[in-house]
Amino acid sequence: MATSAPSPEQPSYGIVVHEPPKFDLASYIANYKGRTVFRRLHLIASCSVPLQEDAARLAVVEAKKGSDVRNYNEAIALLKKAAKGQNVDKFLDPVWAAQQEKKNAAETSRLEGELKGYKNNLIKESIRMGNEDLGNHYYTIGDLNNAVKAYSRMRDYCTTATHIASTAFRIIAVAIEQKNWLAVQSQVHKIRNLQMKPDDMTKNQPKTFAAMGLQQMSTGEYYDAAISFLNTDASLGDSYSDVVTSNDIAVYGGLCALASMSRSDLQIKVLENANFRNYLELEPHIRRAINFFCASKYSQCLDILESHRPDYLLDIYLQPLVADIYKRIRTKSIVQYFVPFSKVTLASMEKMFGNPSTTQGGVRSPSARQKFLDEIMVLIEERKLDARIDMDHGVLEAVQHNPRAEAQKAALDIVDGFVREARMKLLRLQALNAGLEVKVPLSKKKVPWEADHVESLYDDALASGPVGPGGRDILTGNSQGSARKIG
Amino acid sequence: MDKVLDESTALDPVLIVQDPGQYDKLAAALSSKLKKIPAEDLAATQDILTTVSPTAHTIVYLYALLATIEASSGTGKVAPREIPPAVLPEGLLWPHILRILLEFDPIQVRYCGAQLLRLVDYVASGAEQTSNYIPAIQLLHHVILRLDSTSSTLTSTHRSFVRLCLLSQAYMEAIDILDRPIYHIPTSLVDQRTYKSLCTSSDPTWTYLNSATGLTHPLSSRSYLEYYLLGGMCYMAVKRYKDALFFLEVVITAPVVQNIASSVMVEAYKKWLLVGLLLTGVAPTIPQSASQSAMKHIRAVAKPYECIADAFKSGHAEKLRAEIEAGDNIWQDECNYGLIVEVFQAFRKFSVLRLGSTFVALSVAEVAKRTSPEPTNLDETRSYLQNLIASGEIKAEISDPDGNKDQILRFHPGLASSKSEMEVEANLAAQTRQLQSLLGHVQDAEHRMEVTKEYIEYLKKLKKVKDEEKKNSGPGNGRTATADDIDEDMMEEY
Repeated sequence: MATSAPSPEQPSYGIVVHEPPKFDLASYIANYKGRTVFRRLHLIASCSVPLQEDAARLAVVEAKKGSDVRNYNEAIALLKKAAKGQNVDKFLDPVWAAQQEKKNAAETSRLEGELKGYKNNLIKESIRMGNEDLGNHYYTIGDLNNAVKAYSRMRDYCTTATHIASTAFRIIAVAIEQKNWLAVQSQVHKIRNLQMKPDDMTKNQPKTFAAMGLQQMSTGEYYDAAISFLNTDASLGDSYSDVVTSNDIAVYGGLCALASMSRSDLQIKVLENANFRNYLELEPHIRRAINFFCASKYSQCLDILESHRPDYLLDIYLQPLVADIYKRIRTKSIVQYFVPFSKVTLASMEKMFGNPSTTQGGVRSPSARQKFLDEIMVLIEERKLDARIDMDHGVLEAVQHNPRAEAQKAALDIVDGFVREARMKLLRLQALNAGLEVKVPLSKKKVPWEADHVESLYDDALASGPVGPGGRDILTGNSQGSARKIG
Repeated sequence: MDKVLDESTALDPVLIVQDPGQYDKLAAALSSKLKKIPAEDLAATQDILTTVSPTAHTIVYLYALLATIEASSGTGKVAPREIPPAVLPEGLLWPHILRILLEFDPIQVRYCGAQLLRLVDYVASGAEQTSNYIPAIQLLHHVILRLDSTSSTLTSTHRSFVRLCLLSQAYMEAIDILDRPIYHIPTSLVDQRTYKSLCTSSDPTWTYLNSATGLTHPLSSRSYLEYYLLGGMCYMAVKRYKDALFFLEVVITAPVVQNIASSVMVEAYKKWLLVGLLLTGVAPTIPQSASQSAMKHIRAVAKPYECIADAFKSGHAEKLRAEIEAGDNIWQDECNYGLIVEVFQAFRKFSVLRLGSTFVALSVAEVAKRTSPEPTNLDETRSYLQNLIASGEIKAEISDPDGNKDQILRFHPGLASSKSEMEVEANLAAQTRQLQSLLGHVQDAEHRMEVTKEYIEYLKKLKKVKDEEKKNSGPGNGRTATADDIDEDMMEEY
C-alpha cells in the first residue's frame, strides 16, 4: 500500500531547507483549510529538515480527515522516511485506506447514476448540481482531471452570473493545485467580464485579484502580480483560505513589488496604499524591508529578506520563485545604490552587499570578493549597470556619456544603414527586372537542389561565358568542395 | 574601302550635336555595311590598322581588326577554344588591340558593341590562357570606365574583370571599380519609351549598355552572383570587411525561384558568416529579403560554418579551437582556411574589446587569465595588447607603475568622442550628397519599372473599376485581386 517511491504525479521539490523557519507550524497551518492544508504539509515535510517529522505526522492526520487515499499513502511514506526507522505503526491504518477506497468508488458511481437520472429529466438546474456534486467529489478524492471535466460540463447548465462565477472559482481552485496557470488566467478573466450585482462583485473582487496575482507571480510577471496583489481588497480576510491567506497576500505583494518597482513607486503604490497597509500590518517585516529599501538602506532590507528565506522556501507558491525574486531585488538594490555616484570603491560596495555568510570576522576571503566582482561584471554585461570597473584603483566608475557625440554617431549610423538598405533593395529590384532569379538550368529540368546541380551550373557558364579553358578557376575548386559534402 | 572610310569620316562629334538622328542612321548603316563585307576582304586591307585613327574611325577599325584576327587564327594551327597567338600580349596584333581599346570613340562603339565585346573577350581569355593578367586588367579597367565613367551598369565585362583581378591578386584595381555602386542591370528588352537614338550622349548609361547593342553579354543569374561573390572576395583580401559583407549579402539575398539555391550562394553564405564574425564579433542575422526555402538548403550545406559561429558566440576559446580543428579539411578544401584563421584571431581581439566595456582598468595578468590561450605567459599577452593598441583596434594604454610587476591595461573612455566636430560635419555633408544621388537612382528605378506609389495606386483604382464592371455585368468572381497581383502583372508586361 504505502509505497516508498513517490507517485509520478507528485512534484519532487528538489530543495532542502535546513534552517528552521520563523513560523510555528501548528498555527501556520491552522490558517488554511481544504486541500491546500495537506499540500502545504506535504511540502514542508518533504523539504524542511527540522519540521520533517511534525509535518509528516500532521499530514497523516489531515489526510485521514479527508477521503483522498493517495494523499494518505504519500503522508505515510513521508512519515516513514522522517521517522528514520522508529516505529510508526500506531499511525498506520491500512483498513481505513481500503475502506475509504471502496467508499470513494461507491460514491462515484452513485453520483454518476444520479447525474444520469437528472439528464434524463432535462432539468438544467439539477444537471448543474449533479455535475457540481460529482466535481466536488472528484476534487476531494484527488482526481483533479475528472474534477475539471465535471466542472467544465457544469458550465453549460449555468443560468445565472453567480453560478458561472462559482463554477469558475471551483475550476480556479483545481487549476491552482495543478499549477495550470493558463486556466487560472482564463477563468479569472471570465469572472471579471461577468455582469453581476454590485455586492456580489465586491465579494468576488479580492478573490479574483488574489488568484490573478498568484498566476502572474508564478509566470514571472512580477510587476503585474504586484499590482494585482496591491489591488486585492482588504476584505479578503480568511474567505480564501483554501488558497491563500491575507498574510500570504502581504508577503507575495511585498516581494513582487520589491522585485519590480522603482523606489518612488514603492513609496506611492505600496507604503502609501491605505488598502494594502491592512495586509502589511500582518507581516511587519515586509513593511520594514520596503521601508529600508525606500530609505536606501539596502543591506538592512536584504538582511531582513535573507532571514526569512527559509519561511518562503517552505511556501507552496513562493518556493520555486524565491531565488529569482531575491536576485532581482538584490540586482535592483545594487543598481539603485550606484545611481547617485560617479565613483564607488568596490570595497564599500562589498561591505554593503557582500554575502555575510562568506565573510567571517571582518576578513573577506578572496573567493567571496571574486564572487562579488563576478556579480558586478554580469550586471555590467547585461547592461543593467552602466558602469566600468577599475581594478587598478578598486573602484566602480559610472560611464560618462557624451550625448552630442552619441547622437551624431547614431545619425551617421542610421544614414549608413539606410544607404546600405536602399542599395540592396535597388539591386534586388534591378535583378528581378532583368529576370535574374536563380533557376534550375533548363537542360535538367526538375532537378532539385543537389550535387550535380553544381556541375551543371558550371557547365552552363562554360558554354556561354568567356571562361578560359586553361585558367585556374577558383570557383570550380570551391563548388566541388561543397558538392562533395552534400553527397 | 575608301568609300567606307569616307562614311566613317562623316561621323564626327559635331554631327551629334547638330543632328543626332542623322548620325544615328549613318552609323547604323556603316556598321551593317561592314558586316556584309566578307572577312577576307577586310583582312586584306591590313594597312588600315596602321594608317587610320582608332578614335575617329572606331567602327571601321574594329571590323578590320577582328577580320584580321580571324584570318590569322584560320591559318595557324590552334586548338579550338584556344586564343590565337597573334592576339596575345607581344603577339603580332597586340599593338592594334591596345590602340583600339585605349582610344575607341565611346559613341561610335555603341554601333558595333558586339565587336568590341569580342575583342574584350579575346583579351580576357588570352590573359587566363597565358596567366599574364596585368595588361588585360588595365585594358578592361580602361574599357569599363571609358564606356561608363560611373560604372553604374553591370556588364559581363565587369565580371570578367573582377575575376581576372582576383586571379592575379590585383585587388586595388578591382576595388576601384567595385567602389562604384551598381544601380542598373541591363535587361534583354530595350525600353522603347526612353530610346531616342544611340548616340545621344546625355542618355543614362543603361540605354546603350545592354545586350541589344552588344556591349555586354546577356547576363545570367550566375554571372550576377559571381560578380558580387568575387567582388566580396576582393574586399576581403584587403580587409574591407564591411563592404565585403554587403557584397556577399547581395548574393545570399538574390532572388530565387521556389526551392532553389545556387552553389554560388552557398559559397557566399559561408564567407558571409565568417566575415560577419570578423566585423562585429557576432554572427550576422539573416536578412529578411533572403528566400526562406533557399536559406534552408544553404544552411544545411554550410553546417560546419554555423558551428563555428556558435562556438564563437559561446565565448569559449577552447570550443572554438576544437571546432576549427575538427573541420580542418573542410576549410582547406573550400579555400576558406585563411578566413577561419582570421576568425580565430578576431575571437581574441573581441574578447579583449569586451573587457573594455566592463573594465576601465585591469592588470595584464587578469587580461591574460580571461582571454589568452596561454594564461601564464604574461609577456605574450602584453605584446599582443601592445599590437592591438598600436593598430588602433583598442583605445587603451599599458601603464607600468612599478617595474615589471602589476602592469595595468587602462582603456580610454568614450568611443564616440573620437571624432571632432569638423569631421562629423564633413561626414554628414558627404552622406547628404550620397543620399541625394541615391534618391535620384531610386526615383529613376521607380519610374523605369513603373513602381511609383502613385502609379500603383492608379492601377489599383483601374483594377477596381474593372472589377466593378465585371460584377455589374454578371456574377463576377474577380474580387480577390490584391496589390501584389497587380505588381506581378506589371512585371510580366514589362
